[in-house]
Amino acid sequence: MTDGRADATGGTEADYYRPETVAAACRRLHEADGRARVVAGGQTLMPLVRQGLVDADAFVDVSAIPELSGVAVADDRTSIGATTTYAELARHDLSDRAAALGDACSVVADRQVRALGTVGGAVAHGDPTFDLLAPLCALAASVELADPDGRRRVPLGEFLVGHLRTDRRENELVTGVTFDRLDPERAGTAYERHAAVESGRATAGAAAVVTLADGAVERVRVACSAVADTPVRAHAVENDLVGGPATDAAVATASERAPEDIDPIDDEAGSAAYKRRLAATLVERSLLSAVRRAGGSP
Amino acid sequence: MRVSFDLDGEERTVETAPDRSLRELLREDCDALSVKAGCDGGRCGACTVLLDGEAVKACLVMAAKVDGRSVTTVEGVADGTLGREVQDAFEDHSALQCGYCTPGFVLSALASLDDHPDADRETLRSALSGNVCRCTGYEKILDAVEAVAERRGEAE
Repeated sequence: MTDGRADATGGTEADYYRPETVAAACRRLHEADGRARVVAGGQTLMPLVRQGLVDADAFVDVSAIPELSGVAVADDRTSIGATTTYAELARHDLSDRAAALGDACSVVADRQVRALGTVGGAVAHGDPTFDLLAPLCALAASVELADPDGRRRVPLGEFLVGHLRTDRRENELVTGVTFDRLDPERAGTAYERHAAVESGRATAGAAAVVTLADGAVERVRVACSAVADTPVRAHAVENDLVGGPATDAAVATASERAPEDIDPIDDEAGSAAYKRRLAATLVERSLLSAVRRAGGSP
Repeated sequence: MRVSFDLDGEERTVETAPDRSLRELLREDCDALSVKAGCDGGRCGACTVLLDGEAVKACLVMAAKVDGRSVTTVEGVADGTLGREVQDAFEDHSALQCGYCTPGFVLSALASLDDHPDADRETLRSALSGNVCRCTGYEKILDAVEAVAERRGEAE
């Protein structure tokens, strides 16, 4: 074998647990003392396992925990359980609240991966090219975590601390994400991305969340994917737009400022200069779509 | 660990390490050789199977997860079903050359047509984007699947 794994038929002697409660899962993680890996859909984990990059004594499969599955829409908040799949989220009727999530879930990888890949997996892995993170960032979502002692909630921007690095402690489980409800009469959201091939990773992506008042931009949040170590807010674009008219021209002018807050690198997906140009274009597209969905004119 | 599951209508019980791939389990322990080994990293779709009816890439499914579930390979597609209709359409439209990717394509197409019986070409193209073919250039594959969708659409 060339993949460095000890057993030529694949697989290790790791233990495998399938707890049915969050408490039981946290207990397993705690007992393993940092030597356990959480398994949800496995769509990110398995390529790492296949390459021999996962060194674990135990796998804790959280897919049988009912509490972690599904979308809960309350008057003031929307919560998405960690094991909710991309396919489930894409099908869910969140269209009047957070269409950007549907946009992102419909372009992640391909049909097979979307059937199993989960929201919690995307958040816990912390890969800035993952399409779902920018919309969650623009929705000002928080990550919910549990450990044997209790639960906590962390803003996504604080949870994602670097490339593939998060604030999750070894005995903690990501249980879901939550964000404030938008005003369906006045708010719109969208996500736009570009990838070299349809099922490939994003070269760059942009999510916009816009709330309008009398044709003006009352509130706006823009976040970009794949152009920094983490998803990043485009504050310069936001500041340029807020309080002004929600017109094509205003959006075009503001979008030119997208490169100010991003830090792309040269890689096989494209040069940093190309990604700065691309990010500005995608920010513009996502803003125009969000304004339109908010009931504005563009 | 021991996993028991339904493979093409037959109950199987296999001793396996939990973190092997379902693709290995199927090919090496169950002789399900229609499940092809391609990239082994989730990119090519040659190992696509139906897990409880949904198309998934067997190389990305941890073997432990199959316990208690149902796996359908192209061998389990019965006469008179939509899956057989898709296979026949591949033949009619010359939608295969070397054939290595074909089982995966047939199962992805089957899952997609189950959801959208009269899907248009663009929807089908997107639904099949997780499967790679290095021979045909895809147009004949899309012709085949689209023909099934058109017949289904007219029948409704």
